[in-house]
Amino acid sequence: MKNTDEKLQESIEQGKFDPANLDNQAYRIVFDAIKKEPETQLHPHFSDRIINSIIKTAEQRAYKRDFIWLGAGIFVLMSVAIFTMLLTGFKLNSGAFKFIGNYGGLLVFAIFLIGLFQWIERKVLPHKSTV
Amino acid sequence: MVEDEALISRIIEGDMESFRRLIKQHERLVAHMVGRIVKNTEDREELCQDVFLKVYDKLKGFNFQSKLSTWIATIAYRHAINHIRKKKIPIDEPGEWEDFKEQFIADDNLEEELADKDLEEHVLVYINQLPVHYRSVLTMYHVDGMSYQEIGKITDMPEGTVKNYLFRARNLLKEKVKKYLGTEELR
Repeated sequence: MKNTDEKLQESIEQGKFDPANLDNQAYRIVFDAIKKEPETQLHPHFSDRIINSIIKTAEQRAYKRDFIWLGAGIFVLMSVAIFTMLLTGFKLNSGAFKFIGNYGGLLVFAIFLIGLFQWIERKVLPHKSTV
Repeated sequence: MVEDEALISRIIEGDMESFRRLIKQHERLVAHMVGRIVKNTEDREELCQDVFLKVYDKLKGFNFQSKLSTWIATIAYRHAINHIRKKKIPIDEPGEWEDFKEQFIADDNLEEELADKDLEEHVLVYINQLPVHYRSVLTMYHVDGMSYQEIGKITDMPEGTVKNYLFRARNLLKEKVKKYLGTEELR
């Protein structure tokens, strides 16, 4: 069985109100007040802050991933080089680099070309973004 | 629901403008949830921010078993509760109902502070004196318009407990107002 207060709360919710009753009056005041939105002061750029934080985290992750790939690439390259040297019995001597001395210009051009391709890749091609 | 599905898939594809829309749609709800549990105003905004970062991270796992707002409110509620637990702020669970009620009504600490405020403002201050679960349930039901079932899902409380907390919260506030009305009549 419902007690008086439960019945009063139900009737106030249904819009029934007896102004002569003090409990009713008090409940009416309470029901009017509790519908009021509590003060919530969020920064005017609240959503910008969150989005900036997500973008920053994603960039940091991508940077970290690039480094891991670079490290893995160097490791694989070195491993293959060592393995090949062991397999072929290759001995490092100055003669191996002598012929490059005759093509100095070509070497500079090759370095320039690789640098140019890197620059084009960074600037011109669209970047894959995680966000 | 269909709108939510479209919004979520755009966010997952990386559309940050859609996520901004999601934030705008739910920031008040999250602020209510956190604001009713955490009293420290400096912590509130940071916690609200954390909630949306969590929402972004977990969005791929949202399975549409509930409304998006209920899911976000659940994350906000749990995050705020964990925060006060981590900070070792005691969650004021009311003990014996009758003893607690008597103590709550008798407490006159704020009366001087409230002297020049109107009655509605009194009630808003009294709400903040209620135990944390009471004021959360009260806000979810009356301000955010949630059902008992939704509140139960968010707080992990049985529906009966939600109804009980809601009844008790309103009852405590009524007794406070009644006491105030009584003293006003005597003046």
